Amino acid sequence: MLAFEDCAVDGIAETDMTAVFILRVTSDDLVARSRVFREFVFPAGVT
Amino acid sequence: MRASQQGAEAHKVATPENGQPGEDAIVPTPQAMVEAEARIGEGTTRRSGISRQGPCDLRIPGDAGYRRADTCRTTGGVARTEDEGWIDRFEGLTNLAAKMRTEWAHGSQIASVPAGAQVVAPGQSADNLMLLPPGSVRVQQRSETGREVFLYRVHAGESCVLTTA
Repeated sequence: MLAFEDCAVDGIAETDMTAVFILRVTSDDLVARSRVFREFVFPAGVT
Repeated sequence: MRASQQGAEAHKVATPENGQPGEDAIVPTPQAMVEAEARIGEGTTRRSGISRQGPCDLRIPGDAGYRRADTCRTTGGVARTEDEGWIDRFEGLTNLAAKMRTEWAHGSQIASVPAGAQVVAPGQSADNLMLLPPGSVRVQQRSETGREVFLYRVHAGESCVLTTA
């Protein structure tokens, strides 16, 4: 589900942070298999 | 330059123009979990990550702490975190089944990102889904005249629709 098109924007960290990166293959698999994951990623707080 | 090209062709990796044998190279993103699993234990150094404008520290699961990395651009590495604790920082993920929690933790990586670091750059593909336990990311676009145009912020617990579209 991650976009395969190259990004057109800059993303700049505004604070020191610890980010969690989920691999594309894992993310795609979770979207397909987990309702909880889909509901977490898509509906809530989509910017 | 010739040594760099030969190494890139032989090992299917990306190298800098002046790269030399034995130096770090960028491994393309695995396209399937099977391929990712096969890379485990190959003995290469794998860095997850982010792109940035200055040096940054990456905490790669399995390493003994923070590592100074001069190149943080996403490489699609398969370093894993066994730490499932981060999942509980996100409301909505706390009810995950134990099996799913383990799979998610294995397929994720953690990076320490300093303020001001560039986590997404124009032309970069979305190889990872990034979640922010704390913090915020300012998303902006640069016009043809060089002017920065603020678009929106992604705060903790939110996802970026441009990444998951």
